[in-house]
Amino acid sequence: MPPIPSSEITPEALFWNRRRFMQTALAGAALTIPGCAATPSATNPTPAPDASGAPVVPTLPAGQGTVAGTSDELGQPLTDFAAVTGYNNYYEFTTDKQAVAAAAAGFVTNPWTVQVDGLVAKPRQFALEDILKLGNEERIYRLRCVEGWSMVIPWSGFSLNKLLALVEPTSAAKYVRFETLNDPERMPGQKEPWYTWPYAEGLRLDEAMHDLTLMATGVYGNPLPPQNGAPLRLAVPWKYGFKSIKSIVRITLTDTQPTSLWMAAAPDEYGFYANVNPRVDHPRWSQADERRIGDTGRRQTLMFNGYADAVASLYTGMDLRKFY
Amino acid sequence: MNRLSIRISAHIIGLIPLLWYASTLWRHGWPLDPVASYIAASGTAALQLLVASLAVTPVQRLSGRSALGVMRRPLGLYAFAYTMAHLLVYLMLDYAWNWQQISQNIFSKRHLIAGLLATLLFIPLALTSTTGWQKRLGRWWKHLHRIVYGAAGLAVLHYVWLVKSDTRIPYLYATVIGILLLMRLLPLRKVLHAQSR
Ligand code: HEM
Repeated sequence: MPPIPSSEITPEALFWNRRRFMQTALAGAALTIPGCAATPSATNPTPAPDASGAPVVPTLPAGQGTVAGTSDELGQPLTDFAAVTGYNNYYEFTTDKQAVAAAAAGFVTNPWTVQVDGLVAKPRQFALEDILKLGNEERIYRLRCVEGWSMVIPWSGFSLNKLLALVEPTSAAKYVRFETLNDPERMPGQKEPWYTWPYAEGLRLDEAMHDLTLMATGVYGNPLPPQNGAPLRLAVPWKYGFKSIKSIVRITLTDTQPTSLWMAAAPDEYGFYANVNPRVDHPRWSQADERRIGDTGRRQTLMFNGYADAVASLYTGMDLRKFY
Repeated sequence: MNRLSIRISAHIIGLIPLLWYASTLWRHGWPLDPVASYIAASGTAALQLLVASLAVTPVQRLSGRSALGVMRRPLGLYAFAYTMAHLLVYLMLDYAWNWQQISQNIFSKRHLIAGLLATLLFIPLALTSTTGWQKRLGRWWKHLHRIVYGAAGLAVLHYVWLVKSDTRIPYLYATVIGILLLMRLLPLRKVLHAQSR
């Protein structure tokens, strides 16, 4: 990320940065930010036609709120509510994806605070209520898991940059580190010795400031259920799913690259960037293709998960094989 | 137990994974990622039946019940059948017969190459499992069928390489297979006889 001269570190500089990220994001086509539909009616994507050509209107199961969109900007339909809320990778509860919802049921997220600290002018402890005030727009994002499957998910929340702007990162801040709640009593998976708990993730500051980087507080028109990372989680759609850390309690701005849980567990398998890249394989899973949950057969994986127009410029000049 | 009831027990053992899977569906409903679920269940069943078939001879020797030997062939064939189901789900449901994607996938992943080699080693064993082939090959049949240990080793390697970090269960299979192999290599009967004297 380009160094920002100290003199420029004022709220204006931050504002300017945000503008620039907006422009990068909006370059290409408005389509590249599917969820930026502040007014759903205006940019509501047309429902994907089914085989007969009729628009598919998803039926809303119990527990599901209203969602404005029915497909992502590529016309790919939403993954079923049942799969989005019933098929989860959340090792803090269990490694059995389909058992997470039951294992996490009753996980209490009230009260909840998020500490935002490190290289910021105004470190602050946020109560969840205050964070929720930052916005609640719907964004339909593709989620590509490093294991080779994917979903299309209607999140709701706000761009993380709104929260970061409130604490005013200093000129020394280059990275953002995120941490999940550490409470083995409530998250029994944390008693497993295989990983260094708590779950931690990181983004470069410019990635964190990108408008596509969503702080998700809801899914399918409802507050996040525990299995999806209640009460708040990241949704970074151009990176593998594990970057989108769940149940965040701490956000720290740093000048050194944070080490994520997965980097610590298997450095040769998981890098810091973890951008979706069909040309760079994971040792165990081919990244060339993916199975959309519910499909038979596989679709080609898109560079940056289909968000290249919005984010490729963040990585110009970088060897993505080396910075995987 | 007479031979018939031993034979029937072999079929019951062979069908347990299928029945177990059916009961899982009954209790938990249809899996949300059916393809991944079928692959995991069939792969696990294949490995379990393989271990069961490898255990026949040692159990036979330890128990002194030579009649148990008739379980070896059906258990081995169930292992083969589950392996074929595993492969079929992968080819048909996961990759929808897209050979370009399939070869790209298999040959880029060491755990899939190990699984493929294990499968290829199973094929001649399944084909020559009949009494006719057993007679035709004579003493070579026994030599040929020792390949099963190679296939089992590759199948476990396939498993060890594909799990994320909790390798306890794959290593448990590796240990059990290792012990079963050792029991074949050591002249166990002699040792036991020496002790009992
Ligand atoms: C060409 C041959 C084979 C292919 C393409 C294949 C493919 C696969 C795939 C794709 C998975 C899931 C991997 C994942 O979740 O990332 C898997 C898992 C597995 N396979 Fe295979 N396999 C083959 C042969 C075998 C054989 C011969 C055995 C054993 C006899 C076997 C036993 C297993 C087991 C135990 C698992 C793990 C199940 C679990 O997730 O609990 N596979 N295989």
